[in-house]
Amino acid sequence: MSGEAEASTGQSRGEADDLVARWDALRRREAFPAIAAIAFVIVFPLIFTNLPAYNGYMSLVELIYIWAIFAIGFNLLLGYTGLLSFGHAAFWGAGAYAAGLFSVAVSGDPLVMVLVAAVTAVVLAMFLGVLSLRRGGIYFAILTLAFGQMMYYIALGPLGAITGGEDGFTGVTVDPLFGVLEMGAEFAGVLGVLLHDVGYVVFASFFVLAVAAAVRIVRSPYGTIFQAIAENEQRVEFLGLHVWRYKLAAFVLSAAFAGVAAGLHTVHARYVAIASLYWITSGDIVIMTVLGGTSSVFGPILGALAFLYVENIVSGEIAFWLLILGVLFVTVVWLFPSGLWGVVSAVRTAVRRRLLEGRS
Amino acid sequence: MGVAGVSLLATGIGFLIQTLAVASIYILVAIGLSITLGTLKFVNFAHAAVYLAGIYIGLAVALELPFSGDIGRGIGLGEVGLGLGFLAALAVIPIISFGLGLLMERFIARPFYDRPDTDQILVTFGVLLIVQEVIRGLVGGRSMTFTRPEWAQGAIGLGPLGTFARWRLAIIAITAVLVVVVYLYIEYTDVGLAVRAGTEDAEMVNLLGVRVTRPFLLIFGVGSGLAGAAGVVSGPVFSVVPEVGIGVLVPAFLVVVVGGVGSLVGSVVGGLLIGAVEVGLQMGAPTWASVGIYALAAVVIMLRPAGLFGVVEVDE
Amino acid sequence: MTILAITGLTKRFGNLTAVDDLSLHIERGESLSIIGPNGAGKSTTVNLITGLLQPSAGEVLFHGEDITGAQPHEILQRGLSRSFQTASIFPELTVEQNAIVAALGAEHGSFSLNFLRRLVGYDAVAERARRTLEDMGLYEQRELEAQSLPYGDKRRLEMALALTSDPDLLFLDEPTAGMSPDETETTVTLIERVKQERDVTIVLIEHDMEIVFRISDRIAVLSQGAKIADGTPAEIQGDPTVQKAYLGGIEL
Repeated sequence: MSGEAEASTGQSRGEADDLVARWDALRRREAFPAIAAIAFVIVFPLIFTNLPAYNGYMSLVELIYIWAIFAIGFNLLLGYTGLLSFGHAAFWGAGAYAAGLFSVAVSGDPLVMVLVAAVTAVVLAMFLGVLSLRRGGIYFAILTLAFGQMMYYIALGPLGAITGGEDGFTGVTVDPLFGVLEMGAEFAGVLGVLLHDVGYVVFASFFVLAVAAAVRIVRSPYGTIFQAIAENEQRVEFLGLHVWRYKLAAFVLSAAFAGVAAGLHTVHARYVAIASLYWITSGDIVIMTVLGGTSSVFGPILGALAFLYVENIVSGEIAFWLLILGVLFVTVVWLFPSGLWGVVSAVRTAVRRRLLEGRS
Repeated sequence: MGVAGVSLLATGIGFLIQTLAVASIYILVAIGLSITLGTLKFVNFAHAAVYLAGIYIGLAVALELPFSGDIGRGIGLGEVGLGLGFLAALAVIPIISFGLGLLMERFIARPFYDRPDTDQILVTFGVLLIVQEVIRGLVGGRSMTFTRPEWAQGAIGLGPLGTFARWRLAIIAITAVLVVVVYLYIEYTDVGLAVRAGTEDAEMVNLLGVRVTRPFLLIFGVGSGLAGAAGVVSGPVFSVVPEVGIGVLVPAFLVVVVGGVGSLVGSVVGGLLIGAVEVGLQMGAPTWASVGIYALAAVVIMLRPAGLFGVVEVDE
Repeated sequence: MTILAITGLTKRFGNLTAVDDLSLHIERGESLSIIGPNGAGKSTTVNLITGLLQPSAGEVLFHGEDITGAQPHEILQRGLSRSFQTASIFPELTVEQNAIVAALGAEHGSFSLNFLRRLVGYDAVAERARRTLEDMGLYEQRELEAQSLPYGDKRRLEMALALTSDPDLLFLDEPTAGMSPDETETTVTLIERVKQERDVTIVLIEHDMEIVFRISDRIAVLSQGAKIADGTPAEIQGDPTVQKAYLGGIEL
């Protein structure tokens, strides 16, 4: 990548190369994903709420962050480790109900609620993981589906008195953050334009944390081992690594993300629907993650964005929005495994190539 | 035999008939799933799409199908119906479904044979979703009535043993005939031999390299035909909504898993077991009815992953 | 000193006895070849020892410790390693990443709870990976996707992976299968070099008698699951039982 060889157009070529090289180095630095995420949560709502047909409320943006957290975690399991779970609604629902029940029984502190949800999801995942991970492939998918459905019917029927059954769990009380900051308290002036209200800061912060955590995990030995397992599980075992434990770790980590997202969702919606345990929710997260692109940490964010945008905005205009998503989904699985993020990446690569080739 | 004895017998027979009726639908759908998974190693969520087609096209043939979905209204198709009656539907739909099965094999399954399991699940799930939504768009999402044919309405009384809905008996009879026919086909024909060999020796299938030989194609078709028949038969029993495709897919998969992959006998036994558990719990402890079948499947997978009669373990 | 002691190892698949009461001991530092006609149970034996299959009966002692039926990762962690007949690598990862996985297995233990650790600064792992690749002449290709390598290089990578953990005992399962004469020569030279430079005991499963006689200190002959001969190359060469076992007899 040296500009010296072409001395004639050297100056601009060298500058462009230098720029690209410095950008690459910057990208690889530890803090970059977190900083990019922070920039994103500041800029994104300003753009998004001004899109056509949008009626300008922040709630959907926050919902996107919440589902994005769920999807990022889910992709650690699907995209990186190659395990397809059709029952992640179990962790989403369990976490959500746990947070709701906790808010009524003990405290409505939003941070603690999220913690409770996450812990619930993790414990459940350790249990279900041991049961589900005995077999791979299709059996794992069916087992997770089966357990998810079991939980749904248990929550609907036998435990209906606690969960509210078909009507869902109402009466979630959310106390002010740290006891003083009301979730709905808006900021004034410039801060208000950039950060909106306390609630937004909470959701956005968790989003940034989730992105940073996922990147860290992927850049750790776990990331490489997960990918190796997806490609050649047997070889990994024969290199001395305890494959089953790493699979369980992937499962539990993905559940932890789901739990955090679920807790946030309960805080956000102040309600837990019984549908949060239903297979449709499991299907939704699969669609979101795959649509966004399973080959990177950031793909699922796009997937959540696209899915929720279509589900909430497009659905107002077009009735067959789910059909559209279905077609997009199949197209991605069939032809574009790197999903929406792949499209973004392709654009990025084209831009780089342009820069590296100079003005031609 | 005292009064208590008779009433016990009546309950028992009632339970049996209910179980057989419920199991019948699951069995018809499960057979196709099982054979495809066993011989072609292909996970086919889109199998339920054929089932859906069976219901709705069956409705169109037997009675009439109102195109009252958003897209349907847009196209202005109004109501399409041949009004030929149930038996006509029962005769025609399996053939149409057979064709759909061949199409599915050619255009969906074949490109994905060599791709990982997860991709197969994802793409067939996506196809099912699309079919479900297309139906919703054309026909509408609200529940429709598939009225039972006259000869199957009402009940038959067996004296002190109770009365039993004719329709349930009809389902059982139809299913039994279909299953026996398919069983004989597999056991006693060359095509069936190839399939049996295929399910028993996955290695051979691999060595053969060519997955798509006529016997396998035919079995794909036959399985789909059964699924379509299941659709027609279950129309008058289950609610007719687009979601019922996935609704039947899950129990069907559970049946395949419990009964064993690649085994017709396994699908029958598995279906009976699942039906029995579901019906039994519904009679005894209704809130646990659905939980029970999932628990059963989970236990079987964990203890005997190949299923009760399975000869193939479909593992990574 | 005996590094691996196998006693009465048996494996039954239903009515078929694939390995029949096999007893064998391997001395530290020697090169042992296991040969035999097809279906003799050679690969099954390796699979039993390395934990891929559970024995029906028998005992395997490694460094005097019982590893019978242990899980592969445990066995690997104790200092045993194996390569596979096919190039069992990670196709979509880079060559470097392939080596890193192997290095993680060697340095990182079979499992670690630390999922926040940076791989970038993990010097021990990076160093080991680099050493392995350089040793096998694959360092130049480290940024390439493993599946883009020519077949011979893939096999070398396969062996590199097996060697990364500096094993005490190395099983090579038909390392030259499907190779051209040139590639075979390269591989055999490589094995000889490994033998010389490292303190490793090598067990070779092979069909090619030339290689067997070139590399081995000792040969064990299997036929139909049982050991029928065990001795130096010279002893095996002259053994009539061995000649009979190979249908029609191969010129040894």
